[in-house]
Amino acid sequence: MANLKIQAKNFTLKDTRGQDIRLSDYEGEKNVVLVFNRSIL
Amino acid sequence: MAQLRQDYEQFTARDAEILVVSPETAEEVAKFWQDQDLPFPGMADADHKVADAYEQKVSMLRLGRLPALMVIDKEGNIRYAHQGGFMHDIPENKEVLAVLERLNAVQELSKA
Repeated sequence: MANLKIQAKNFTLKDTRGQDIRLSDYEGEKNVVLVFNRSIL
Repeated sequence: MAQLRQDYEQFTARDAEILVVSPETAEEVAKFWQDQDLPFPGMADADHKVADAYEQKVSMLRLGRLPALMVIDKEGNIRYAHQGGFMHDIPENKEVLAVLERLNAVQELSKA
């Protein structure tokens, strides 16, 4: 990988259990693997 | 999704959470998550707001019909991005796990 370093944009979306997921909640806590994909074939 | 689920413990062991943003409706995503019993959060982005924001942010990405995967470090920086060339084309887990290992190692060094 190149030396990619771009500040990620925060977002809030509801997950399938109706809970708000905020990207910023993971800051300082965990790495995030963020996947954009269709779930359905 | 099955590919990510298969090694989910490997991701969590490397201090990572998997977040999946889908362009489908909340109902469609909820049904799929229930059917597949996926252990990580899945989120509907039916109006494409988040996908559009990330497309502007990371110019190499074309988020829509094709998949993309990013790794964001604990400081909130995108450190790796993969654009899929066809449906469900995401990098192999071992590649993403290696990226996470490297990020964790760098972070350990900066702490010392």
